[in-house]
Amino acid sequence: MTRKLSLFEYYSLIQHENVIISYKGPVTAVIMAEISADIRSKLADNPKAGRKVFAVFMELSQNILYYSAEKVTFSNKKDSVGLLLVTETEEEYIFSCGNLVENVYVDELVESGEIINSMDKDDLRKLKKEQRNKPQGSRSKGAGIGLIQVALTSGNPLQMEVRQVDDQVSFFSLSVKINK
Amino acid sequence: MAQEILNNLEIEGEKGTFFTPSVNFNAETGVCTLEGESYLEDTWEFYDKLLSWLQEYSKTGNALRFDFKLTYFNTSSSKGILDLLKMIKKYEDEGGDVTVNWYHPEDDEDNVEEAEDFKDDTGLDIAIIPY
Repeated sequence: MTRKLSLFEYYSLIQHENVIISYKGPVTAVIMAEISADIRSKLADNPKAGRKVFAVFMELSQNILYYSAEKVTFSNKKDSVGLLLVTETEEEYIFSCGNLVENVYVDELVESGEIINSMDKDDLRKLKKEQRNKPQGSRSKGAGIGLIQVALTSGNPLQMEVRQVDDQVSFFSLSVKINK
Repeated sequence: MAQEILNNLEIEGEKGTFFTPSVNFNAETGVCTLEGESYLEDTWEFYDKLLSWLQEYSKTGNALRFDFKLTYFNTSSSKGILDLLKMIKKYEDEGGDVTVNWYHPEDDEDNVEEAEDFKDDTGLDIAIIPY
């Protein structure tokens, strides 16, 4: 049987950017703790940006943990699957994450991102307060303000990309810049 | 009628897979501290514990000083913190003598903005203090 996945191709694909962390696989609390600790130690010499990258990482990887439509089963335990990437340029850190989302939720997700991107900081803070005071939504496992907080923390728009995979799911990716 | 004695609430802070802030609620002095980082496996269960204690303490009518020294909390925790602050505000509205201090690392503007939003949201006179 031929092995379809070329590790070299995968390596080449992410090679051109300055990748600090790249991970694809089950996103569990333990994995999050390890990667976030690594982010903190690697960015310790820039505490301000480091804190922001850490906070953005925590919120967005929790989203994958809670909501990813792709699951993998290891010894009867179901874990969410996603992709986490931290890259660095001269002026900024970029945190990207991606995961499968059921098609029925895609429009809602993109719309919330667009609303967030259309707002300035004061409006975002107001929206965050409004949302936080609301009772939890049925699908929400947190305060329902993760994306708003990510936009506030990063101070930059959320860059979203959606690719439909089949009639059930789409790949949703989100990139956020954090200025150095 | 015998009044039940309220015990101190003490939870040791922990940084492992999750981050538990350290809790030191003193029933005698009325000084309560929540310190460290908050990202929990079960956020509601944790904050419910703090809320129940605070509710019991409110019945004493004694003065309350609440010191927050949080360096990181996720958005779920921020809802728990808001619930705490709302309960403190309620105690104040009922005539309780209440002081709330929010300590933040000097260079952490995001932390200051969180405190400002809590202040704005609850109407509590939160002292925002750098360290």
